[in-house]
Amino acid sequence: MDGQNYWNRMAALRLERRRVLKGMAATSFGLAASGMLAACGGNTNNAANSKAASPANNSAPGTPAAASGTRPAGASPAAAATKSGPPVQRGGELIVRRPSPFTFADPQQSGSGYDPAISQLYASPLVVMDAAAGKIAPNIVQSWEQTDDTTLTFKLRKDIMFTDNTPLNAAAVKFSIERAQSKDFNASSRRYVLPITATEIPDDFTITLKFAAPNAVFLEGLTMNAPDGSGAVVSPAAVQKLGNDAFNLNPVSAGPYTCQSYQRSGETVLVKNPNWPITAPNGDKLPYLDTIRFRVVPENATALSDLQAGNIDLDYVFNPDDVTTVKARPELDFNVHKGALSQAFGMVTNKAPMDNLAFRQALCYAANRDEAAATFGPNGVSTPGKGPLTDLSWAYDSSAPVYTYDAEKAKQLLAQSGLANGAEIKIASSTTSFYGKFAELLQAQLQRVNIKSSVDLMEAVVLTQKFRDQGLYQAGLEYQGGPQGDPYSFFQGKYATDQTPGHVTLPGWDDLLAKALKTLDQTERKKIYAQMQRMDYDGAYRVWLMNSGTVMAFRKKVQGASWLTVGSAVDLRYAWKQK
Amino acid sequence: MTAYILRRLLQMPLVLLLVTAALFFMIHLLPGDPVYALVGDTGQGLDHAAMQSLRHKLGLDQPVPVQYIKWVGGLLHGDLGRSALSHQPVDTQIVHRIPTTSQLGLVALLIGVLIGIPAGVIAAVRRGTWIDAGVTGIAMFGIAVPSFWLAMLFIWLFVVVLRWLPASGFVSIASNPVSALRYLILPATALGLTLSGSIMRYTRSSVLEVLNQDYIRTARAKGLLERRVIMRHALRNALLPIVTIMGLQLGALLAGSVIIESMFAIPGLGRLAIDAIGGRDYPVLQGVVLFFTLIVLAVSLLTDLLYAVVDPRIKYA
Repeated sequence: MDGQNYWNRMAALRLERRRVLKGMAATSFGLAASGMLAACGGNTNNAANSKAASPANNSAPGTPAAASGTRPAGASPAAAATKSGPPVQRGGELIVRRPSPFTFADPQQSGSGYDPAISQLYASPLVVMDAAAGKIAPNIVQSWEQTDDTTLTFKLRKDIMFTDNTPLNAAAVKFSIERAQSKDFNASSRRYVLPITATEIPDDFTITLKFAAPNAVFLEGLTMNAPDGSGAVVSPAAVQKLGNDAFNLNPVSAGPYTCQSYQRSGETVLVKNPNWPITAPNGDKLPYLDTIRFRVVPENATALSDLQAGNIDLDYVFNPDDVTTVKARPELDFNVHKGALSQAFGMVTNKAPMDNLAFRQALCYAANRDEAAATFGPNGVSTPGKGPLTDLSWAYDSSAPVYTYDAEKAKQLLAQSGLANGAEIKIASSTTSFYGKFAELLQAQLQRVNIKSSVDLMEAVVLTQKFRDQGLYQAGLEYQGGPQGDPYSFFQGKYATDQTPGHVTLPGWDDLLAKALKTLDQTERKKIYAQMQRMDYDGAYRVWLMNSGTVMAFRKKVQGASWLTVGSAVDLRYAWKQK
Repeated sequence: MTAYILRRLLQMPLVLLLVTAALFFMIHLLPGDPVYALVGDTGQGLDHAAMQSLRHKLGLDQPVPVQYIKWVGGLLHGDLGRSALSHQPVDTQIVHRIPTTSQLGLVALLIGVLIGIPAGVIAAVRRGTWIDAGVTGIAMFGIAVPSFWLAMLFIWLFVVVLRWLPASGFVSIASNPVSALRYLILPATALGLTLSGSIMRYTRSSVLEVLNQDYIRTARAKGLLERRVIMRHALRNALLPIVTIMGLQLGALLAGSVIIESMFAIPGLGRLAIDAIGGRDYPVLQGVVLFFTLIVLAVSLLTDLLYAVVDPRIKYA
């Protein structure tokens, strides 16, 4: 299949066509102001939809088999930019913006959800998530077999070399796993590999992993690099030669690109790896680009200016408020990863009046999610929250009951709770982004049903400490990456006793989480997750307020970028640039 | 002179100790345990074991005075510690970023001087005219307007509208001088213009004062060209307060660089400080402030020494 046909196929797979919108943007810098009118929109697709990436004969227990197959967030600027699908052009340089420092170049050590967008280009993970099919696909691991409930065997490709010309073999995988497990190394990816109790190497390109107990989510953890997974394999020779500090500045792994230089707060430059053997879905040799520069630009206004001027090609953490400006520029386009972030009103359920189920349910009915999404999700970026999961996860149960705004019902439940004359609660919220205003809106909504509240704004780190960990407030605004793929980690991070706000034990949750982790059959696991969604509704433990999308804005000459299966990470494996 | 320098150098450690102690304890007054910022909530839940391990590793489980004493002990051995965020040695991070901030600061200073001194001289010579009023007005504008506002205006005009220059990034002058200037000119001008306002004001008043001196009248009576009178006799003797203000402005320049480096995505010391504050990276923040303090003290000493060069009448005992 040639490039032309491939991109035609991609265009045909689009889940949402170009939509025409109108808007007005006013950009002002002090005395200067400019207004713009315009149209054009974003659309969705997934360039990572991959024939080559479909698993050979593997449907290992613990592997999500094809689920819904619909991933509305899968996004392809390629399709966005071209209906006709221009032929792929090789070479050139892509300049990509991100707002926060690239925490670690060491692909096993990173600490930010934005990092895998970079590290996965020079440290391709062991397996990948075929986002379109909703299942795990081979990558460096060519095939895998779940020998029994606690044994997993990987067969590796034999043609992959690290960029220091040492082979990526079973010994390197073992080394990488043991490095990630090391307490001294203390990597954020450590929790993913800790369940491995032993490794065996039957031959150079086969590795067997032993677990103490069945682990249904382990394999999915290998589809991403740290901090959202532990899929990266590093060159043992390079680590041993350089040591961890120097290795972080000069990481050696295997991927379509090589990390040429790393600057935590400046530019990280990746150059083409001419020896990368894994091809594009159409059989094209990868990568297409010669160079990708990731530039840390903290200020949104600066990034937007450079995007408009052509000094930046793509911004994958784009400010949703600026979408209007993008719409006004014919050379720019944008793409929304809908549901990638979720906002909720968390509660410390052993603190009065939050210990009262009827009161919690009253809160669930009092929150007007449509109003929140309309207020804080400009340009259709946000949708009203319905529950913990969205259709980004194969475990989403669309038949699960949801709370919607009903002031009368909220008042009835207040009366039922014995608080008809009103109640007062303290809400903690973050000063980050729009969360201060979000809390104020929520405050006003609660006031409508006679629930008084006060809001304490604090830095995100203080919010985590005081509300999430210490439970010093009755309620707090929570925001997190929306669960994609298997939602185990999401549920565990929200409902396990050591993770709930104030560490309150919620009846039945710890046991059910343990059961989910051990249940390798996906159909059965899906039933467990459906039960969790129901338990969340029945217990009214959170008010699921809003699902936000993450936005990438790009110049239309950029093609082939899509979303990785984490909140704000872009997949540039197949990216190329029209000259 | 040597005794004076030695005395000043001996005072420096005391000042540094006071500044670092004040900073150390102030940082710890900030709400929020830094460990939450470092490994707290990764979206997959709180990893309490990792948090406890890191707290111990960073010494944050010890009393603040003990932490300070250990930090000073390390400092005496030339060890500023390691970044809690990047795990890299703090001194290496600072050293790597000095050239970036230095280039920005020097170009900004150059712009400030090249605009401020001539404008001040012209305003003084044309005292009471519309030129004086105009230049003084512009200087007041430069003093009053914050550098970040100028930066936003420049970005809008030169990046978005005219598309002449980039808004983000940095290239070292050593690697490519032409490209470096393209990246430096906007941030350095935003910083330099605010600096030039102060320099202009001081130059004007200083030159005015000198112009009323007897030796200026004598020079003119000798029939010297006015240009020579101004440049050789007036400006040279008016330089003392200008040197002072330039030294004093260094602190403002460093503070301004913190904002400007963020706005223009320049990976210098200012950005390092901002990142360290946001991530509660105590070792890095302490290291950067220590370095900034050292620079201010060194420039203050240098300014004092320059007095003697500019005005030979000044002697240090």
